[in-house]
Amino acid sequence: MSVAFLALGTTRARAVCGSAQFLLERGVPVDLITVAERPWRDEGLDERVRVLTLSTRADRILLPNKVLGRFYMLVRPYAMWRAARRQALRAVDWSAVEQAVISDSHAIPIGWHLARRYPDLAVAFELDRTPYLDGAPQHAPVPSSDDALSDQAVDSLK
Amino acid sequence: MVEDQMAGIDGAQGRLAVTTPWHPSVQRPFAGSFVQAATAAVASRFERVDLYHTEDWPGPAHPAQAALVRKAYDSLVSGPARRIQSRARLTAEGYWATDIPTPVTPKRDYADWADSHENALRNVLPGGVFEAEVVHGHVGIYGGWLALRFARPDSRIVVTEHASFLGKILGQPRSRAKYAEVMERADAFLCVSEGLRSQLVQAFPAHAGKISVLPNAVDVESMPQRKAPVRDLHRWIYVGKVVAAKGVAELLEAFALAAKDEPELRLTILGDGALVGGLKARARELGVVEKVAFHDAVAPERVFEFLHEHDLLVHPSKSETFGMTTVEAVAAGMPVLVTRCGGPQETLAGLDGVAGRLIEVSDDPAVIVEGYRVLAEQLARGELDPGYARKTLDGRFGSAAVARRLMDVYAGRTVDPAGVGTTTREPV
Repeated sequence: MSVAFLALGTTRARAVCGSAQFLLERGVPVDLITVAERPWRDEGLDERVRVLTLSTRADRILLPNKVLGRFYMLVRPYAMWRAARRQALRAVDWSAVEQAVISDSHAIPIGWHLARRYPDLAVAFELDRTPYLDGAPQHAPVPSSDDALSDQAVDSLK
Repeated sequence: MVEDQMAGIDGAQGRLAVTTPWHPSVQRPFAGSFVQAATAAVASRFERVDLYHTEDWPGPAHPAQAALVRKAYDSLVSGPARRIQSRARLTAEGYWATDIPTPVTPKRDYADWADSHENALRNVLPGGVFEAEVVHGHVGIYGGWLALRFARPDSRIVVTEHASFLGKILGQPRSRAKYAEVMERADAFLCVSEGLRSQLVQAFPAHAGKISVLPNAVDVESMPQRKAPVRDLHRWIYVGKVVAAKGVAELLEAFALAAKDEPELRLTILGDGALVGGLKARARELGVVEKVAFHDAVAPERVFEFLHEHDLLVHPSKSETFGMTTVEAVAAGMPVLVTRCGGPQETLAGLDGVAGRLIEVSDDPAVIVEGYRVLAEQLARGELDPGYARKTLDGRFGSAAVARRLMDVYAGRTVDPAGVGTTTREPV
């Protein structure tokens, strides 16, 4: 069983990185669904966390445009959800996800969509550590090359 | 009624609800430690204490996106199809804490933020009210507002104001109006410093009678003391944010001046902030780069390791509501050189020349140098008394002293306005 964190930005990076570390030390695989991987690594996110990045063509093209960007902002949450559905959601085996942890405000709409799509999925705003407290820290699984899912790999899943 | 229930409350009875925007959490493990300390100090005096921590989660600024976040949030936490339910956890300090994420917009609108906190808490409170005889709200516009909205009509409301940004809150008409409602309903208003009390009395003179000062609880007793007494003041340390308002740039200049005459001097700057890069460059220009060490901020419990390795805490801030670092340094048994920047002259009242030295706030580094020299002479003459200083701070801010005063306020008993324990100083 794994745990998936949803955080579009790094405003709550300490909570995500700390919780991920806690899980990895107990051998629990961790995914992070976000917009860009680099800022997370800069915040100290463990390399063993699989980062699934959401990117929309509109983000790249429309956001830098001052006029079009204003209109795009209105529909961006929906665009992000579509991106999440096409990209990250297909890369995760949700039946094996024990908890989906919504970890920043920006990710709340995606978390809500996810909760609707998977009625049995446990969704929360903070990691419930209780199920793992008995498990003494152990050596985490050796990361495989598949664990680092690049943008290209995600794109190929579309 | 509350007075009856709380009278002579030395055994555990009654319920206390605490509501606060600041409390240690996974994301901010060091935030609101004073709320934690105050709540822990009285936890055993009640049958049950519930703390509700509404934590700001800044979200999108765009109104349409913010509305979508709110709608999704509400759907997740409320209604028959709710998917997320906040749960209380029993803390090591003996009270129950519920962490409540609160989506807010980045725009600094305190009334809007208060409404967001109210909305978030409403989804969590069983029955929509605090089932408690006493409700203690921390920060008027946040916890105070929530106390007002969710306390039972017969509950006693106590509010503590800590906010260094109180002026900004009162400067916004909508948040000031909300604040006035809180002030009207509250039975007692506590401020962590005289400066904050003055601000509130000025804004709400009709309620001056219910506004008093109760400093933050600090667990002085458990703070580790250095093993060997300080013999000289060669190793200086600054602890805190490395930003202009803390006077760190003036400190570096002052250190360079003092080090010209005393090459054995050393300075450690412990903390993070925007000025770090510039100060490193300035240290090179001043020719003291070998004598100045910069260190990233550390967890509060590690601060004492650094204090014990130094001889003098220099805290040249321009403004402070309390000045926790100063208290920690005095508790650790080291002299302090601190500006009269608000909180510290209250914190160290009666201890100037005993715990260290108070100096005027100034942009002139020479003020710090002069203060250091006078303090060094006082140390050499044996005038400082770190043991007495620590004992005094424990009597003033220690958990037991603050708990006694808080219980008086909760029970509506007359409170000593000075609010400090007294100790007798042995002649040195």
